[in-house]
Amino acid sequence: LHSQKLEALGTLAGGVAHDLNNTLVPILSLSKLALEDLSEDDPLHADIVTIVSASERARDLVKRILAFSRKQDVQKTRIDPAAVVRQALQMLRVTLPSHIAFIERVGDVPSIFADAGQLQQVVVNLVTNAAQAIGAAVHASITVELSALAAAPGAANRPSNLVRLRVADTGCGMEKAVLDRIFEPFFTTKAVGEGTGLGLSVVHGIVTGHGGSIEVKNKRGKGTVFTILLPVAEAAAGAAATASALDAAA
Amino acid sequence: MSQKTILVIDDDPLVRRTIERILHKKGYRVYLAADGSQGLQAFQHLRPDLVITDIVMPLTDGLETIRSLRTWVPDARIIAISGGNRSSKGDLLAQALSLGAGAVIAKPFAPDELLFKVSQNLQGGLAATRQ
Repeated sequence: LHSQKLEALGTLAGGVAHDLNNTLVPILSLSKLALEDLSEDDPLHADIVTIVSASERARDLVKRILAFSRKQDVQKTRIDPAAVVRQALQMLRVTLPSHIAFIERVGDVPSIFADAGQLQQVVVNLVTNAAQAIGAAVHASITVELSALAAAPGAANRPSNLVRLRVADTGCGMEKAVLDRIFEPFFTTKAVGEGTGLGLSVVHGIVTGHGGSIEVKNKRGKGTVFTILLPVAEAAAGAAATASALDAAA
Repeated sequence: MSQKTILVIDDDPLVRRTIERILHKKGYRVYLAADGSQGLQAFQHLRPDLVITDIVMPLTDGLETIRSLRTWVPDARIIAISGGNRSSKGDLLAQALSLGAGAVIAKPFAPDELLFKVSQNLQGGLAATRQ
């Protein structure tokens, strides 16, 4: 029922995003066009710059909605997830509050078939969410781990076919009622203006759009662990080939 | 040099008007069509230098339009534009490229981006490009 609800919300969000993108075409394009004919001294110049900024903000919001609904145009290629995650962490390291210890355990893993920008967004959203859960608490930490999922016991020579991304924090954790709704778009526990409620829904959309899964473990007052599993490139290609064969046979 | 002609196909009148305004300001001659079938009829009469077509449209959609244009004129210059996929999964702009669009643009776009891709395609650069 939960996944059906998210799917229905995704369809709704995709429709709204499509119509909003069309509506933004004249606002963004014509305001930029008008700026070409106005000198910076013109009293209208600053007003139109504000319209451009607002429409660019709206465009970015629509992009996040599309990421949740999995209707965004993505560019999947074979990528090294370790390089992408390290790049995201490098950016996050300078923006995280200094009282939070940032522990990075990024190992070498097999390549995956993914959109690098979207994978980066998953890391940024999860770490940002973790930092917000910690707030001003002292002795706090966020741990980010990337590893190849160990092969099943008894399959010593079997190569791993999953990459695991784990983001753990020592923050406040969540009550069950909150946990049940965290992937819903626009669901937020933050005050109005402090969060859009899209961060985790975007993560959910991206991960499922890449054929992966996401699991949350949470202990109220102790922290939260998000675990994401993504298929390695060979496994993803195999699954796609099987799906095509099944489609062709149907 | 003769004035280049561009056929714009989009079911949203505000988008049509906006693209017309941007292109007209740069000296292009612009023709407008409100859906794929109107656009295909206009193409046969006008033989424009370039077609800019939306993808999600009622009746004849942009992908069908590109397919027909490619059948009639294999080297027709086409740019596909889209605001995202409303009803089904899949990357519409990637599909447009695979059908033979020379470039694709996601809505909303800045005038510079549109003009750059228009100019690039009119110069004969049919290599597929996307933002």
